[in-house]
Amino acid sequence: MAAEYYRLNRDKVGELFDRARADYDVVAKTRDANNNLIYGRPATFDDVAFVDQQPPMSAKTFALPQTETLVRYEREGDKIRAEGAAETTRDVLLFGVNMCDAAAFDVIDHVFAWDYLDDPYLNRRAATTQFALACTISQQDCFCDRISYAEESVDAVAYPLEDYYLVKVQTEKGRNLVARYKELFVPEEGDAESSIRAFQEKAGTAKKEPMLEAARAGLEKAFEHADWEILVSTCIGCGICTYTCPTCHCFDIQDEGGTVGGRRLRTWDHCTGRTFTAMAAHQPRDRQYKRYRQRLLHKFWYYPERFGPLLCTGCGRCITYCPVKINIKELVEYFGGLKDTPPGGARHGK
Amino acid sequence: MENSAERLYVPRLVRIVGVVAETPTIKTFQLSFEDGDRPDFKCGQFGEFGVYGVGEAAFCLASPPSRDGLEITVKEVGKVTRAFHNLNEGDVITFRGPFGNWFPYDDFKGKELLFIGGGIGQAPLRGLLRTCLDNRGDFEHIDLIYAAREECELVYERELVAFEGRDDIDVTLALDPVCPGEPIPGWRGRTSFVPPILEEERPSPDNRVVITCGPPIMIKLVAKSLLEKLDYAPGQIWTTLEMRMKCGVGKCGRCNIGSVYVCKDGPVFNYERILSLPQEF
Repeated sequence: MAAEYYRLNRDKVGELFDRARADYDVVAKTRDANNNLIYGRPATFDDVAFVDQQPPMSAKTFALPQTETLVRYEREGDKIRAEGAAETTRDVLLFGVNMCDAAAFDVIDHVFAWDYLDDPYLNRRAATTQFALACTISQQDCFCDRISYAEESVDAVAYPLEDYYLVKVQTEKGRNLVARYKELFVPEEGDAESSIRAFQEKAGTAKKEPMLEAARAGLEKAFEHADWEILVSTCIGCGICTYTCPTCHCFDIQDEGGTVGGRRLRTWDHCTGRTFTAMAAHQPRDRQYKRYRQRLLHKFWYYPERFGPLLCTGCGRCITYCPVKINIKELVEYFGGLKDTPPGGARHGK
Repeated sequence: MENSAERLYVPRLVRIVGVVAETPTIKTFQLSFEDGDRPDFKCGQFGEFGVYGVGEAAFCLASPPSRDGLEITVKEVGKVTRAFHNLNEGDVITFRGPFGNWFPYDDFKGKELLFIGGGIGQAPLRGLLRTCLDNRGDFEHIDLIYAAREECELVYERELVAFEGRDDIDVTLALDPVCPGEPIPGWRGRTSFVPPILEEERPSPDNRVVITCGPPIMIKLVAKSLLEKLDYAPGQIWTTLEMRMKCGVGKCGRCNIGSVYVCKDGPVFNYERILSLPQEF
């Protein structure tokens, strides 16, 4: 659909939040009991955190929970009864989610919807409406200005201009949201796209060359590059980069319970772990650098080769939270031939 | 869209109707689908088999699709396979599948076939080999070279003996040399790795396809020998790759080699394709 533009006055946002709670399970940035920033369910509008900063954990959990039940089983004698987990899904509104988190859903839709349909994911995805809040200033480690993810996939985006929110509605779900509370949204008469461009320039989120998509040709020649071992030898395989990542989607299937009853569940897993590909008699990724290389190349070569988009929205969490300060952006630039010099400093063992 | 979660992750229940102890660590399980028809499958495909409370693992479908039932051959090496080895006739396991691609059986018709199996790697070849023998007239020569580390790691012994008694398949059995050149007492076959056998017998590449499965190192050395010493083209070699899998349906991201999902684009691969992938094996 063609984008539509509205004004949302700042003093109407609280009303929007309260009214939306009647229709949606509203998720927004808030603080937990320990004052950590999370995507959660604020008790009141006053508990919503209007900050640019991303919560450490992305919003992917609302379509791909950290753990979910696939099957419940019970055994009685030699009879086994098993059934798929029935889930009633309420519509979720991601209220004020960062763009990098909102756009990540479109990226991973490709893998969950090719060939076999992964309904547990797709059903939750279909029930999720994104109402993103554009960043006023780019964050410490993020590089969304270097990645061309599908901004148009985000249902609605609010740009916090000087006096009001300029709301760009881009999908049917976004249109439904605005239609439900139409008294709060006033059609924008001015040149909205110019205002958005100016806003993004000021925020530092406008796209800048060279985009990281351009690294692909170089990466395709870099699999055997001798510097992998040197530059990522510090990786400890903790997996925090993957757990905080809005696009990392690899999972494990495990049983929990005993012989009498229990469940088969799906749970996040990570390719940087030692056991990820360990088999009975064979381990193709027997060194840590090979496991890190898999993560980087999956994101910037394999996934786009297969599905189109990079498996990254540039949120920068994997840089922020890496305990050994591995910087994926700098590594992509180096191995992809966009920069001649490797990422330097003691952090990379040089 | 309502029920495809059922299709994807909710397994069918399958009863064990027979157990054959192949070796001290390998058993073949004969399975029966009691909740409906056995699904159709093709030679080379695999399934996710599991024991509730323990978990699932991927095994190739090791019996010919044209015969009734379904067989899998399981080596006891980890948690799930240990649970399998503790099961008996009458026990119930879980099954999802069939998954993955298959051998291009029709393209093999009219050709000389050379099967090369290594250890439990014979399992993915077995359904195809027996199907070819059931339709013997469709093929030229059929050779089987089957190697294992030790005699007690040769699977399907009863079938090998039967093959040895037939005149329409040539069987060469081999065990890894413990002391090169020295015979192993009581062993009826050869004492050699596979590449020296190939280089001695020199099976001509004319109109022949090689179908091989075994440990990655064996596949690699067999291919090297065929390509570099015997003038085979990569396109004449077919193999199946083993990669750790969970979902079996191209979602969980575990079996990727480059942009290839072994569970969807494989497990059967032409060697030409393998050479084009990032060399993770």
